[in-house]
Amino acid sequence: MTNVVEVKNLTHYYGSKLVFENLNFNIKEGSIFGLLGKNGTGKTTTINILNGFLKPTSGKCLMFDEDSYALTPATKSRVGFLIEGHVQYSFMSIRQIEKFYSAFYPKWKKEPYYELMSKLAVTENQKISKMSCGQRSQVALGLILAQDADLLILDDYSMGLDAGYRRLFLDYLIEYAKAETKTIFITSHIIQDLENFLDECVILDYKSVLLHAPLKSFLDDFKQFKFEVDNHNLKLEKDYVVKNFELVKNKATLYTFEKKSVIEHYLNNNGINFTKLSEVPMTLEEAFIGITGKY
Amino acid sequence: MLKAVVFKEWLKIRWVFIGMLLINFLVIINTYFNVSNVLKVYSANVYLVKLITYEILFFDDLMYIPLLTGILISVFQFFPEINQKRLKLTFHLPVQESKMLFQMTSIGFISLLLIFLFDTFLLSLVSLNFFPDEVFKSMIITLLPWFFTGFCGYFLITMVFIEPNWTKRVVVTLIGIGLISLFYSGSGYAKFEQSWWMFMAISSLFGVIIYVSAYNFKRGIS
Repeated sequence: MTNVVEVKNLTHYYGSKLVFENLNFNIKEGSIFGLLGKNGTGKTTTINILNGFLKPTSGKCLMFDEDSYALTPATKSRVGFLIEGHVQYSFMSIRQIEKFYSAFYPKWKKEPYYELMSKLAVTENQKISKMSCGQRSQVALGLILAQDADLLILDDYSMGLDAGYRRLFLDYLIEYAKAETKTIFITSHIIQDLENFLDECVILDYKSVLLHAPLKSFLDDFKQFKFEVDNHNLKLEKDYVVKNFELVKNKATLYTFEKKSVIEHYLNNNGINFTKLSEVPMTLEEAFIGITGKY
Repeated sequence: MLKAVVFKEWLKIRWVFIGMLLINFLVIINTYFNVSNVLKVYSANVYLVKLITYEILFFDDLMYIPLLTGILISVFQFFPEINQKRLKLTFHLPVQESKMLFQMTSIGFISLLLIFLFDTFLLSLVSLNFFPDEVFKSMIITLLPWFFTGFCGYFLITMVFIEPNWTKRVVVTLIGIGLISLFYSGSGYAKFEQSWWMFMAISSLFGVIIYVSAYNFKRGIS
């Protein structure tokens, strides 16, 4: 399977502040790839570099084998881009914006756009600036679906959307992704919505990559163990076993990729008195918080 | 694609274009009535001698209107692009960024040109109605730098909107204000008969700077 996007040794600084260093990942054709991370970890920066709106300090981004800062119009026409906040030309009406974009894209299909608009209870002459955030998100989604792009880049599609609009957004994306050659690159701050959606993900931490794995293997392999301890000041540093550790009074939570027997052995070896050790299943959001930490 | 770009730009500037066309029209109509009223008191010869001796421009109400027109067209055209960084949408369209910017600024430029041609036409009617042909010729040469301020103002404000670096914005704005003030230096008729081409060159330079700012925006240079 070919790579639609290749990110190679990407490093970026804002002034003297390091955003990330040696970021590497590929996005395979036909996959749904999530770039996850807390605010300020460089998700939008990565997307800006990928779309050629930012020159990286070092490293390279390729999109359809073209350097991202020199994308040809032909390649740009294959990429649908959703800007954070569903930004669109708000001075246009629903009909005007469809007419405008259709002139640029040879594969333009207006049906998915008008199908989405028909759900909004607005007229075709409705100005986008007069629409709610949720409605504007559907306009932006309808436009990139009508573009029939091979790659969708969605920068925080969930921003400002209530649960209904988020679900509607994802339902349409799932339909879009059913075509084998369509690829989606998505970021979101609402991790839970992506649990049954992503094929693969990268989780960014400040300045580095915490995880790069297929989502299923992350959810299968990453574990949460809860136990009780006598020492209310117990601290466990991150290492090859402990990926994160939290303690509230005598209730301890340890996040790891290891099995229960390894954890028991690890705690005993470190002289920790513990009771009631048990593995607790996690949702994607809990796993995300587990690996990135609450702060 | 060009048709679509023209459509988008027209949506943004149509009201300010019509509004400024109306303001320019009203200012010139006012000029017509002023001259007409004066000529009810003085004979045409006396008034003409007075205009030339005291270097009074009978159309000086129009002096800053082209500059204001250029600034407002730029604000209405480019503020929506920069607000929420919509220019990213524009530059993501499958067209070379420089070509897209050229098309956008050409639409603003042509809008200004149309307004200034309209001004010239109306003022020509006023001039030829009341004064000899020589006054018409010197009026056109006097008007040219004012019209160039309109183009300079348009390009300058566009640059300020697009340029991501605040220091560069401030520096170019100060230089721009200095250069534009040159256009208003001197007084009387046809002061810049030998040097109007310089103003045209300065206006063109402003047009080129926009591309540097667009490059900076595109590459995230700040």
